[in-house]
Amino acid sequence: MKKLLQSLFVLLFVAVTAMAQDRTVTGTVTAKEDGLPLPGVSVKVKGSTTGTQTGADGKFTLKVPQGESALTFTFIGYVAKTVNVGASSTVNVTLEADTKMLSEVVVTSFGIQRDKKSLGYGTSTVSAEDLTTAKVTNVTNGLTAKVPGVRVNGSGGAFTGSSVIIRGFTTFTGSNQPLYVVDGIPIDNSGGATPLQSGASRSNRAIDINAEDIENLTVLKGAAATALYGSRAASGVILITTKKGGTKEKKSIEFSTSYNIGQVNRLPEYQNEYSQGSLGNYSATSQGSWGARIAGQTVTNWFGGAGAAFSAFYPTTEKLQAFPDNVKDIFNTAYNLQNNLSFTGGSDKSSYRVSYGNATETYVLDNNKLKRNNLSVNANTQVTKKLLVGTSFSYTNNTSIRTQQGNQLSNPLFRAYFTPRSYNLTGIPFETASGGQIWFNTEDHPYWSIKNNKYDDEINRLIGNVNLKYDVNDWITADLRVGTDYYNIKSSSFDEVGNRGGGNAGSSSTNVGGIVESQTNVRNLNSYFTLNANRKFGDFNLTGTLGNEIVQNSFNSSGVTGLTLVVPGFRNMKNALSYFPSFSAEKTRLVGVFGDLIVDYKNFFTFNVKARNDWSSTLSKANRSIFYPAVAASFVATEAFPELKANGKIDMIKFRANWGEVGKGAPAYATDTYFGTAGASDGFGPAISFPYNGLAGFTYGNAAGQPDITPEFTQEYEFGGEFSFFKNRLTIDGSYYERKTRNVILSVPVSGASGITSVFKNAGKLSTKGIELLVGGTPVKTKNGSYSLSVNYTQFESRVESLAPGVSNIFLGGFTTPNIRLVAGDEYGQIYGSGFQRNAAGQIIVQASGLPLATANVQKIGNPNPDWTMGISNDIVYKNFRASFLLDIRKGGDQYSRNIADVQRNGVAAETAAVNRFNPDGTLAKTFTFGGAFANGTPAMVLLTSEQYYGNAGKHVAAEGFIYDTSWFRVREASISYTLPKKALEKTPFGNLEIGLFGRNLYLYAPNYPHFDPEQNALGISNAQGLEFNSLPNTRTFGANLRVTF
Amino acid sequence: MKKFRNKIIVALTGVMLLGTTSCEKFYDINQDPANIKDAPLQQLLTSATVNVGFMGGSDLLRYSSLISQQFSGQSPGAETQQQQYEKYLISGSDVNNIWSNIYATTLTDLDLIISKSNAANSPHYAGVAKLLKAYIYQVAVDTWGNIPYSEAHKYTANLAPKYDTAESIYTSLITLIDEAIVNLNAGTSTLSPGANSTIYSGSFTTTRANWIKFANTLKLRIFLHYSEQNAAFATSRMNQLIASNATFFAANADNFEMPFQITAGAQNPIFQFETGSRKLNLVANKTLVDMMNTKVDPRRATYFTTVNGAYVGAVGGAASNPTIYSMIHTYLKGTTGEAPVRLLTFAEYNFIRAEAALRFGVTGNAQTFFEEGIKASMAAAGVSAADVTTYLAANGTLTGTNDNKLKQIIEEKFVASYGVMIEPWTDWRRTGYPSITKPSNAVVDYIPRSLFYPQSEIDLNPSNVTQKAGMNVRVFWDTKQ
Repeated sequence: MKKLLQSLFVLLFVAVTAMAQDRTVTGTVTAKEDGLPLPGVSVKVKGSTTGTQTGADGKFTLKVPQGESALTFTFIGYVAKTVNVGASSTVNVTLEADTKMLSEVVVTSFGIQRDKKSLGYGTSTVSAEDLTTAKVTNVTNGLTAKVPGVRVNGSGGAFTGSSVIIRGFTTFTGSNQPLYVVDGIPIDNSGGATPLQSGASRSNRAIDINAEDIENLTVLKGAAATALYGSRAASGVILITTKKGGTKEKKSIEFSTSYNIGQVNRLPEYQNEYSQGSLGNYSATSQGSWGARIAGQTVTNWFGGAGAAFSAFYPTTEKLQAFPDNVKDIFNTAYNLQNNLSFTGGSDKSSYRVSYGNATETYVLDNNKLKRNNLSVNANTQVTKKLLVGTSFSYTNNTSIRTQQGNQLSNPLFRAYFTPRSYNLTGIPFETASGGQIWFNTEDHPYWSIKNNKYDDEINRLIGNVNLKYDVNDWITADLRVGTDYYNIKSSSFDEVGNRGGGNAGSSSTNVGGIVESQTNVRNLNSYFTLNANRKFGDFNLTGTLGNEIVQNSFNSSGVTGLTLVVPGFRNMKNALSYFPSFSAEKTRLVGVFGDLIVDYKNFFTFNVKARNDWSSTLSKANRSIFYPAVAASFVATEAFPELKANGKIDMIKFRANWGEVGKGAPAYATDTYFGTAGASDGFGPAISFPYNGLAGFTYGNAAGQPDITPEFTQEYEFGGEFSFFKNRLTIDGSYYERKTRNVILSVPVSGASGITSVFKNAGKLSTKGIELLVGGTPVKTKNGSYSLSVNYTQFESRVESLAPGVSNIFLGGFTTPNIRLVAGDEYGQIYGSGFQRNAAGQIIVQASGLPLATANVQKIGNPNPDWTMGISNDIVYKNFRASFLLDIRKGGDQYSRNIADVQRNGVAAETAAVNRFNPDGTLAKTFTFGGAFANGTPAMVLLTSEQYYGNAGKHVAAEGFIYDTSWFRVREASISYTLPKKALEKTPFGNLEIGLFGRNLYLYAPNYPHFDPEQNALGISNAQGLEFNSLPNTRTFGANLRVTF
Repeated sequence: MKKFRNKIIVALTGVMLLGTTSCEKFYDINQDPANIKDAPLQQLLTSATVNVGFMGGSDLLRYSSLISQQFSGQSPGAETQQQQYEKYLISGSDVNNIWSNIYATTLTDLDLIISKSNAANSPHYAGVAKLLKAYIYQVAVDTWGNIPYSEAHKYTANLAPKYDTAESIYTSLITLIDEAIVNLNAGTSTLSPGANSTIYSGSFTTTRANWIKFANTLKLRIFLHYSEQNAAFATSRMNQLIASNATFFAANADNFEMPFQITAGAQNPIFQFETGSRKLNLVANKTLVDMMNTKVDPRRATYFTTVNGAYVGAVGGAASNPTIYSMIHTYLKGTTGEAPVRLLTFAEYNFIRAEAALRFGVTGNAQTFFEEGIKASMAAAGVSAADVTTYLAANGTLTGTNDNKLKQIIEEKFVASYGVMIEPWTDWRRTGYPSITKPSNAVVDYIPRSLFYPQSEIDLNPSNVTQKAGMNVRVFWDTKQ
C-alpha cells in the first residue's frame, strides 16, 4: 500500500514549474532504508510555495530566491526534513521512513474516516487503477480475484455482471449480494439474475456506474464492519468513493480513451469426420452428427427431403463435406470503446470535478450493443469557515439491445453449438423472402433468431446527494447527507411472427408473435445525519459518532404483453391482437439510529463499540425494532513495544478481533397473504393468461404471509492480524472468521394439500467459516523500477445447519434434474440430479445392452462451491513503463454443463470421434464401454459404439455424467503502459500522457472442463450457482488505451 | 454567523427527530398495492373453471394418455420427457406441479368460494364449487389413491394434512354432490354464476340444468368406478339414482367441457403444447390408431393427421423419428386452439349406462346406450350421418359373450374418450380393456396402476405419507386381477 500511495502521490501532484529565480540548486533524494532514489518528493523553499518534485531518478532542480537557503523535503510516508543548503548549489538528502506517517485512511460507514491501523476488522480497498485495468463496462467484473474474502463469479453472455459473495452466504432465498454505497448513499444493484427459460438476460444495475469515476472501492466484510449500515448490509458493503477535486488543486483536464476487441474465449473442439445422421448413416433431419464418414459423397439433403417445400432456396443434393467453422462463424469480433473527459480543480475554498464518459460495447453475436453515457458532477465548497457544502450527482443513460438466452428454442445457441458438422450453416439461406424460417430443426434458426427475436432496454438513472458538514467546534462535527437513486427502465421485447421459441412473450407467442413492453421506476431515498466527536484525554483518544438514517425504497413496474402480431416485422404494440397487462409495486421504509464509540489508547490499543437500531416497515409493529451491536479491538504490538522495530526488520505487528451482529428485515408484504391475478400453466409451456376471453380472475396466493415474522440475524466473529516487515517490503493481512445466521426468513415450502405451497417463517440456521489472506511483497526494487506482487486468498465454506422443521431441502433454481438446492447439514447450494444406477460396490449397473440407467430420484451430484480462490496481482515498474497482470486461480467447484452434454450426445465433440467410428468392413466400431456390472452383479464389459456411449441413451441419461470440475487458472487481466517522460512533454500542452495495452481473460487453463469456459452459467447473479444451460459464451478482450491530462 | 450556526443545528436536529419519532403512519405501508386481500366470488370461480379446463389438457392427460396408449412420446432429438413417461419413468418430482396446481390453486379457490358463499348468501356459487371440487377429487383419487381430503385446505392452521382413504373420499364425494344439488336448487341466491363461469357459461337459469345433469352423471361415473369393489352397492345406487328421475346428459351440448379460444394466451393447452416449444413430442399411439384403422373409423379424419395418406401410430420405445407418425389433430387441438377440453362427455354417459346395464343389470338397454355412445362421439368428431350409419352397421352391435360385449363397449369408449384425462386408463384398470402391452423399453415390469405421490409431499408431509413401492400400487376400486 505504501508504494501505491507513493505512486498516487506522483500521479496527483503535477510538477509545478519553478519560477525564474536567482540560483539553481540541484540534488538527489534517496530513501534511508535502501538508498534508492525517491521519486515524487516535494522540494520547497521553506516558508514559500516555490517548489518542485523529484523525478523518477530522485533528482530535482530548484531555483532558490536570493537570501533563501532552507529547503523542505516532504514525502508521504517519510519524515519531513528541512535542510539548510547554505551557498551550495547541490544537496543530497536522505529521508527516513515514518511508519506513523504511513497511516492509511479508510472510509468506513457513513463517511467516518479511520486510520486503517486502528481498525478492529479487516477491510479491503481496490484502487481506481486496479478497478479499471481491463476497462470492463460492468464494475462488478472488475472485482474478480482482487479482494481477499470475496468470491466473484462471472456468468458469461452479453453485458452481464458478477455475483459478489463476501465471506460466504448469509441467507437462504433472499439476496446474498452486498449493499452498494456510492458517496454515502446506498444504490440499487438489482437485476442480473438470468431467467432460466426465457428472454434476454438483464444486467445488474451496477453497470450504470462508470468505473472511471471511481476513486476507490472499499469492501466492508464482517458484521462488525457493516453493523452501522444496518439491515441491508448483512451480506457486506461495497463503498464506492467517486473522484473529486481538491481545494487548491490545479485545474486539469483529463481525457482518456480505450478501445478493445472481444472474441469468444473458448469454443468446443469439434470432430470434422462424420456427417449429420445416426447409426453411421447420413440423415438430413438428425440433430446429431452420428452419420456417414464425410468423403465427398453426394447425398440428398433436407431440401430434397423433408424440406422439399424450400427446394427453391438450395440444391437438393450436395457433396458431403465438413464445415469446421460453421459454429465459429456465428460469432463476430466484439468491441468496447470508452471515452472519458473530466475537468478537475479547486480554488481556496471550493473544488469540483465534472466528467463525461461514454462507453459502447458490442458482443460476439450480432444485434447486441450497449451504449452508456455518464455525466457526473462533484462539487464542494467551504461556505463559511465551519460549513462545507458538497454535492455529487451522476446521470446515466444506458441503452442496450440483446439476444435471447437460456434453455429455450429462441436462444440462438440453444442447439447451434451442435450444428451438424456437415451443415453449411452460414452458406445455406435461413429465411424466405417473406421471413419464414428455413431450418430442419424445431428451434429457431440461430441467425433467424439473432435477426428477429429482440430485446432492448433503456435506463435513465440519477444518483446523487447533497452533503452539509458543519464544524460545531474544534472537536465536534455534524454531517447531513440526503441522496437519491432514481431510475427508469424501459424495456421492449419482440418475438417475430414465425418464431418457434416464444422467448420473450411466452409460449403463447410461438408462431403468432408477441411483444412485451414494460416500464419500471425505482426510487430510493436516503438521508443520514451524524454527529462526530473526537477528543483527546491524556493518553486516550475518544472518537464518537451518533447518527440516524432514514430510508425509503420504492419501485413500480407496469407492462403489457401483446400476442398475435398481424403484420410481421411491425414492432409495435398496436400490431397485436390480444393484450395482457401486469403491474407490481413495492415500497419499504426504514429508520435507524446508531452510535459508534472508539477509544484509542496511546495509539496502540483501540477499542470500538457500535450499535444500531432499525425500525422496518416490512415487519409488524411488535417486531419492527431490530437491534444489533458490534465490538472490535485492535492492538498494535509495534507501537506498544517500539523495541520490536529496533532491528529494522519488523515494521508493524497488529492483532485485531471483533464480534458483531447484523439484523435483516423481511421482504415487503411478507406479513399477509394476497389474491393475485389468476392464470393456469404447467411446466411445458402451455399457459392461460388473464383476462381470459374478457373475464378477470383472481386466485388465492400460493405463498402465505406471516404476520409474526421477525428479523433474521447474522452474527460473526473475526480474528486477524496485519504484519509488515523489511521496510514494508513484505506485508501480510489475514483474518479468520465464523458467522452464523439464525432465524433465517424463508418462504418455507409446505404440503400443497394445505391449500398453500409456502409460508414465510423464521426458520433455519446457516454458518460460514473462512479465512482470507492478503500477502504483498516487493521482491525487487531498484533504482529504475520495482516488481511487486500481491496475493489474495479466499476460502470459506457456508453450511446449511438446519432448514425449517420438516423441510429437508429448498429448491434454489434449475430443473427437475439437475437443480440447485439447499439441504440441511450440507454445504450451501448443492447440485442435485439424476445419477447412474450403481450397485453396492459403486459400479454402474448396465442393462443387457451395456447402457446405463438413471436413478429414478435425484441425488447429490456436485458441489458448486470452490475450495478456494486466489488472485495474484503482479506489478512491474521499470522507468516509465508499468506492466501488471492478474492471475485468477480457482480450485474446485462443480458445474453441470448442458453445453458439454449437447456437444457429446450429438457426436460433434472431438472425443466422440477420437477412435474411428467404423470398422474396416464398414460396420460401426464398438470401442467404448461403461464397464460396470449387470443387475445380477456379474461384471459387464459390453462394448458400445461411440453413438451408443455418448448418445442420448448412453452417458446422457444421467445428469451425473456432465458434472465437471471448474478449477481454473487464468490470466484474468494484464496491462502494460508507458508514461511519457516529463521532459518530452515540456513543449506540449500535456501535463501527463500515458499509453497502454490491456487485456482480459487472455489465457485460460481449465484442465477438467472441456470445450467451454467454465465461467458461464445459467442463472447469473443468483444464489443458485453450478448450472450451465445453453449459455452464451464468455469473451476474451484486448485493447489499447490513452490517457492525457492538460 | 452565530445565528446561522444555530439555525443549522435546529434544522439538523429536526431531521434527526423526524426519523426517530415513532410515527405509525410512516411505517404503515406494508400493503401490496398490486394485489388484493380479498377477492369476489365471481373472479374466484373464473380462476377455478379455467384451471379445471386447463388441467384436463395438461400433465394428467399426457400421463394417462401415454399409459393407456392413446398418445406416444416422440422426439426431434434427445429423449423427451414424454418418451420417458411412456416407458413409465414418471417420478414423484414429475407430479409436483400438477399436485400443487390441483390443491393450492384450483381446490383452494373452490374452497374459498364454498366458505365465502355462505356469508354472501349465494348457494348457487357453493353448488357449482362443490361439484367442481367433487370432480377434481374423483380424478385425483383415481390418479393417486389415498390423498388428503378431510384435513386439506386448513391453510396455515394445518401445514401437513393427513391422508384419507380413497374409499372414504369417494363416499364423501357423493355426499358433496348431493349437497351441491341442494345448493344449485336453492330458490334464492344473491349471486349466481353466469358468463364468468367458463364451463357452462351463461345465465344460471339455463345452466342450472346443465350443472345438475353433470352432478348426476358424475355420480354415475363414481358408482361405475366403485363397481369392481362392491358391485351390488354400485348397482343399487345407480338404480336408485336413475329411478329418482335424476337428469343426466342428453346431448353433446351437455358435455362437461371447457371451450377454449383462438386468441393467444387463451388457447387449448393441447394445442399450445403441440405448436409451442414441444413440437413433435407427442404423436398418435399405434394401439389407438390400429384399433381405428381396423374399423376404418371415420373419426380418424379429425383425430389424427395423415402421413402419406395413412394413419400411422407409434409404439413406446420406437426410435425418435416423429415425422413418420400421425399427429394429434383438430378434434383435440382445433385449428387454432379453440377445441374444448373434454372432461366428462355425453358419449361416456352412454357407455357408462351400457356397461352398467350389461354387467350389473342396471336399468336400461346396453345395446341402445352402446349405439348412442358411438353416435354421440361421432357427432362430436364431426362425422357425417352417412359415415355414422356405415360404421354402426359394421361395428354397432354388441355380440358374443358378455365379456366380448364388455370389450366392445370399453373399446368404443376408449376411442370416444380420446383426450379425456385419466378415464381411459381407469377403464383399463377396471376391465382390462383395451388390451395393452408394455413398451419394449419399459423401466418396470408392470403397467402403472396409479402414479407416485409427489416428491414434494414426501419431503414436506412425511408424517402422513411415504412413497409407494411402485406404480403398481392399486387404487381401492382397482380389484380386477
